[in-house]
Parts: sequence; C-alpha cells; structure tokens
Amino acid sequence: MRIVTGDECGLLKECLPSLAKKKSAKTVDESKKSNIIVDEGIRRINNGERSCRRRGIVALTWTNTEEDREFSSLHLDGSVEVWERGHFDEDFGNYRFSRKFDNIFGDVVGDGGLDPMKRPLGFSQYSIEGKSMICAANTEGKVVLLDPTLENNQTANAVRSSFTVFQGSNNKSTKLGVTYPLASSMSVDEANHYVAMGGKERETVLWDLNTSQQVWKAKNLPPDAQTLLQPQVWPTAISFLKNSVFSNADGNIMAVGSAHNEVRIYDIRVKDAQAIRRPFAVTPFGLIEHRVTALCQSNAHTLVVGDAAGYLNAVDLRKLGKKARVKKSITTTVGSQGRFVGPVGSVQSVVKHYDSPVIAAVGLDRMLRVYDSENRKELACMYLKQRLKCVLVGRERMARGDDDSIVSENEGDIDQEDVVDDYVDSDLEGSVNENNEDDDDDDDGDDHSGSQDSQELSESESDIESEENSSASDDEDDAPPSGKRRKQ
Amino acid sequence: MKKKPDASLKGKKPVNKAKTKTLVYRNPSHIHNKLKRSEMYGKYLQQKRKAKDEQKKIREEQLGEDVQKPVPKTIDNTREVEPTSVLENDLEVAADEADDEFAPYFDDDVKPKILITTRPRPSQNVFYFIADLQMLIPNLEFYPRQSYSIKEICQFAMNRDYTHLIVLSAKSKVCNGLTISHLQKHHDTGLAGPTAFFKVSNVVTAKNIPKHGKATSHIPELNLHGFGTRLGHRVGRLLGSLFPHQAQFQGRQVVTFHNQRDYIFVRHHRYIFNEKKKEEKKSKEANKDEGPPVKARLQELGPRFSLKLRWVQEGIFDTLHGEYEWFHKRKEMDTSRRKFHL
Repeated sequence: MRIVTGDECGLLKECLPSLAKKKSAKTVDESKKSNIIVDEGIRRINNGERSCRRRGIVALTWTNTEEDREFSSLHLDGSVEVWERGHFDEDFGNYRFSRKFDNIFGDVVGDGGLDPMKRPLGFSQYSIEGKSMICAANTEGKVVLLDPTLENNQTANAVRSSFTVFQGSNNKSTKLGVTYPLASSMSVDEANHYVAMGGKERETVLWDLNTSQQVWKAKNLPPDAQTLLQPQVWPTAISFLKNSVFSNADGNIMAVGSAHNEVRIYDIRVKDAQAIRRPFAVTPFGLIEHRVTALCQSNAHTLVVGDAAGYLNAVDLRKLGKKARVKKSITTTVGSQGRFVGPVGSVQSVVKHYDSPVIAAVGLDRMLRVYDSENRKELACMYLKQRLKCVLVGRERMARGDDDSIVSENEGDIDQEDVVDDYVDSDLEGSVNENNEDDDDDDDGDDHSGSQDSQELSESESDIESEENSSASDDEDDAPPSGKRRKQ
Repeated sequence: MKKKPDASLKGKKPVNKAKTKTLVYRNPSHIHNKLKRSEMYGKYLQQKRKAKDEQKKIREEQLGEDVQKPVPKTIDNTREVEPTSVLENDLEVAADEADDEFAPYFDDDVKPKILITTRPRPSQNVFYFIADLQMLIPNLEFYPRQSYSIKEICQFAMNRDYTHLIVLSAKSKVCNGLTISHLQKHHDTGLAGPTAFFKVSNVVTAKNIPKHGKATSHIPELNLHGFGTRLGHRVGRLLGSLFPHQAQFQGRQVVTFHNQRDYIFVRHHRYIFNEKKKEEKKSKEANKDEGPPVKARLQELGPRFSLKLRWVQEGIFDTLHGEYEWFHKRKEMDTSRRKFHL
C-alpha cells in the first residue's frame, strides 16, 4: 500500500509501511552508534527543493488514480504542482515533478510574509464529463476551478472559473482583537460537483461548481433552553459521506465537524424548497473533547473523527440523536465505537483506503499511523520527522504487502462483514436490517458466482457460510445456496 | 530404593562450605539489650564489609589486571529508544530548525522582550519568585493580571511588540504551572508561534539557597542540555529563545536548562575558573589522575526550579480551540518506566 504525505516544510514523502525499518536497536547506546537511521520505507519525492515553510503543503489529491499515476499538491504560497509516477516496476512510485501552476488564487505573493487571511485552504479533484478538474479554495472564500492537464505555467488558461463564497457579508471576523480568516474548512463532493465551505461563525454553505451558485446553506440548531442561545458554529472539518447507511440514489450526506467539539450530520440530498437545513444528527456533548480537525468515513455507518489533541474516535452514525445534550446517564459513550490509540498531537488528516478497511492518520506529532478500521489496531507507525499536514493513500496493491495481510484475509470472504447484524441495537433493528439485507442479497449473489468459479471452498467454510446466510437474511431461500455448494 | 545421605555427614544437612563464608558474628537481632545490640550490629556490619572486600580481592586476582567495574543499569542507560530522537547528521531536521520560529533568536536577529504575569489574585510567594525570575531572564517585564483573559493579554502584548508571554499559575501559595507563549509571527507563514505549558515543582527562591550569590544584570550564557528528541529540540529552542544570544562573559553567569528523564532543571550559576598549582608530589598510586589543570567552581544564584512539559500547542494560547502539537496522555504514554519523550 502506497502512502504519500505532505508536511508544513514543503517535503513530499512516499511511504511504504511494508518496507519500513523494524526496530533493531534496543538501547540508546546502540542507536547512537548508527549514524543516520535511513528508513527503507520512506522516500522523499521532491528532493531537489529546499525545505521552506512558505512552500508548506496544504493539501494533496490524486488526479489520476489508475495505478496511482498522478497526484497534485497545493502549497502555502498558492501554487499547485502536479507529480507523475516514474517507475511502474518498482515498489516505490518514484514520482517526478511534472508541471506547476503558480498563484492560482491570483494573489501575487512577494518575498514578505504570507497573509494568514488569504492562505490556501484545500483542494480536491473531481471529474466532469470525463475530464478531471481541481477545485481549490482559500481562507478568503475564493474558490478556483483549475484544469490540471494543461502544460506547465499556464495558470491563466488553467483557471477555468472562480467565485467567492462569503461575499457581501462583513469581511472580517474578529474577537478580542484577533482577526480570524473567513473560511476555515472546505470539502468537495465529487459525485454531485459541490463545494462546501464554512468559517468561524459562518454556517456551511454548498456551492455548485458548474453553475457557480449557492445551492444550500446550513441552519443552526434551535436555542438551548438554559442559555437561550443557539450553539456556536465554527466548521473546521467537512466530509461528504458516500454510500453511507443514509445515502440513496439522490446523493450523499455531509458530516461537519466544528471547533466547538461536535460533529453534525446534514442531509443534503434535496436542494429546493423541501431542503432540510438543520442537522439530523449531532454527536453528544462530551464525546469529542477538543476541536475537530479531520473526518473520514471508514464504512457505511462509521465515521472516524480526529481532534486537536490527537484523539481519533470511531463514531457510529446510526446511534446519534438530534440533541447535543443527551439525557442518558452515559453521555460520552452514545455513538462511540471506540478510539484509535496512538496519535499524540493534533490529527491533521485521516484517509481511508479505497476499498480495504485500512485508515491512515497523519498529525502534528510527526508520525504516520496506519490502522485497521475494524478492530482499531495499529498496523504501522512511521516517524516522518516533520509536522505532517496531509496524506494520500494509493489504490494499487503491492506485490508483497505485509500489512495488507489483514486485508487479504477478509477479501474473498465477503460474508464475514455481514456478521455486524448480530450486534445491531434492538431499537434500530427495523430500519437498519433492511439496508443490510439488501446488501446481503447483492453480496451473496456475487459470492455464489465467485465460489462456483473458484472451487476452493472446503466443507467447513461452506457450512459456516450457509449458517451466516440463514441468520443474516430471512428472505433468502436456504436450499439453493447450500445446494449449489454441495454440487461442487 | 530410597537414597540415603552419606554416613560421614552424621545426620546433618550437607552445606557447601566453599560458597558460604561463615561470619564470626551473626545478625544480632536476637539480643534483647538495645545498647549491646547496637554495638554488635556495628561490628557485624564492619565484618560483613571486610568479607566483601576480601572476596573482591580474590576475584580480581583470579580475573587478572584489567578488571573493570561493571556499569550498573540505570533508567537512563536502559532508556527505550525514541524513534524521534535527533541524530547528528540529520540534514532534514537541521533545515527545519533553520526555518522555524526560533531561528531569528538564535541568529541574534530579534531580541526577546518578555511579559510575565500570574493568575488573578496571586499570593506573596509568587511575587518573590517573579523578582528572582527577573534576575534570571533579562528583559522580563511584569504586569499585574487583573482578571483579563489570557487571549486578551496576548493581544495587548502583541500590540506592544512583546515576543514572549509567560503566565505563572499557582496553587496553595506555591507556583505550580508555567505557560510560555511565543507571540512573534513567523516571517513566512504569518502565524504566531507555539505555546508550551509546564508543571513547575521544587521552587526555591534565591534567599532560601544556602550561600547564594547575587545576580547582576549581565546577559548570562545559556546551557541547554539533554534535549534529545524532536519534541525536546522544540522545547529547548523555545526556552533558549527567551534569552538574548549575546552573552556578556564578564558577568560569568550561566543559566542551565538540564533535561533528565523529562524533567527540566533550571539553575542559575556564577562560575569562576581556578588554575591548579603544579606541585611536585610523590603519590603512592601512580596510576591515579591528577585532575584537570583548570577547575571551575560554581556559586548558585537566583531561583532553582524544575519543569515538566505537559503540552505544546500550535499557535498562541487557546485551550478551547487550539491544536496541540504534543499532548501528554498519561495512560497511553506512560506505559513504561523507561520511556521518555524529551
């Protein structure tokens, strides 16, 4: 599994946890004898460039995901660089600099300090009519749509359109004399071509990338009975949840994490007059103790929330209620599935692998950590020397992958994932089981065709699977599946 | 068939006399008379010591000339290897440090100007401690707290071009916490620097140190020792940036931040060099070293206290919405007695 990380000094590194150096030196004296520890699993991508904070990397995104071919990086000085993969035979991708677009936000940056009010915020790739485009935003609210396939240094041509999100409102947000930037988080919905942005005391807004119009704006929860004030709003992490328990053909739902220690889930499938603007689920007070800095969807019903003190929580979406203040006696555990133990500093980015249950988390404690998202065990921890800001996980499967072993065990056995049904809460059984049963039908259909082809199932395995089939879905006939297998 | 012990033993248990050295005195705990008992105990200890020395001699003769005393295992020796420890030739780390928030102080481009304040309504001891700190750290200015929030104070300080803010917190009339916030914005990113919170313990003001000296206003030399990991480097540089880096050697003062096992000991000394007079001495043990020709003597000035790092935050002090670079989580991180983070 290939992981690319970017840090605040502008260094891009490619990491392969399977090649990482194992701990060999046991005591301090032994480790001092070796001059430099060269970690076999880490390779620096942009070696020629001097490390410098103004070239710090803000965001990374894949622009060509086939064989992890190409990715681009957004730097603090407003430039976008595209990196292409060199080797296809080696384990390491050997990415090489391909092209660069300077000053995509149009602010000419001199030698002096960068303006913190106008810093790039993030970007993401989306494809429109088969063509891949990049949507980038900065903290002023300016959104730029960039075509990354053009030649080097053609920023003027590459920037297809731009619009400003928080326009017309008072420009500065100040408290106690401290000026905060307008926008503090952004995210792109690739499927429906939306960009969501939010700022301090500015609710999340959705803008359509094709029409450059605002499509939806979030509404805050009703005032609290005790303080008579609406809860404060400061979205610091936004994530669109695809194929979640609540999604359907119309679209996705959106999770917004705020600096006031909560995550809200919004339903954004309907846009017009029937749009639902209030969140339909909120994490209870006390579940998240610090500002939310990263969100990642780990499977259909689980959201991984990373916060500013290095806590990575797995939250079950089905168990969250509408109210932030829950009357139950154990407020901190409602919806919480558990914690990923490890990070010591603010988690800057959490990313899930394309299809296997593996999560990579990166933070200010200079470590890259890879976890198995199902049992929350740490698979790998690599020290990367700089404070890391963003991470990308490649899709390509490696020839030899030690940490992919967990993944490969479950790969052929799709039925194992459906065991979740046994642990569903009795309250939610009615609504959730239906969804799972639908999934079961599809998966079992695939499994049957797969098993017929492979002819590798032993008798014990087939027995287990037939048992699970019977417990999982009541609608399916038991005789045909097991009958098919016995014929083998 | 049951084994029978050898007849020559005459019914007693076999004892390996080569191993045990029989003492003339046994442990005198059986004596009821306290005076007599304490007397016999003294003799017993002396005998024990003598037997040990004899054994040592026998061992040395057996092993030969070069018998080295085995190095005992200490917690510092057997410290767990930190992957984040900085090695000497690391170019990446050197480049990072050349570009970080504290580089201008170490290059002497910026002079630190520090504002110190306390919790609201501090006790008298804290004022004495602050007076000592003003002798320790040059360019330290005190302002009373008066119930402003720390964020407001940061803003006021930034407006008046202060580079650092120190906030002392106290409990039960003793200073127990120290927050250092770097207020100056980074020249590239435009963001104000890190904030670190330390737990303060063992505070001894200058008056209470026996034979202490009085500090002068000369700029002291700085000694940062024992900061091994990346986090240690960061904290060490933060502490080092409090001082101007143009030491006045006539003052012969030195401030030491010594990190050992995650505790940072802060000491302020005045040193003086004494040259050893060369004497023609016939020493019995010719192998023994004569000692270095120049010896330094120290006189302790100023306060003496220890710090332990609790968290480091990115940006100026903001416990509600700030992002932590390092946060000490006791249950997760203190898993082993041999694991240290600085």
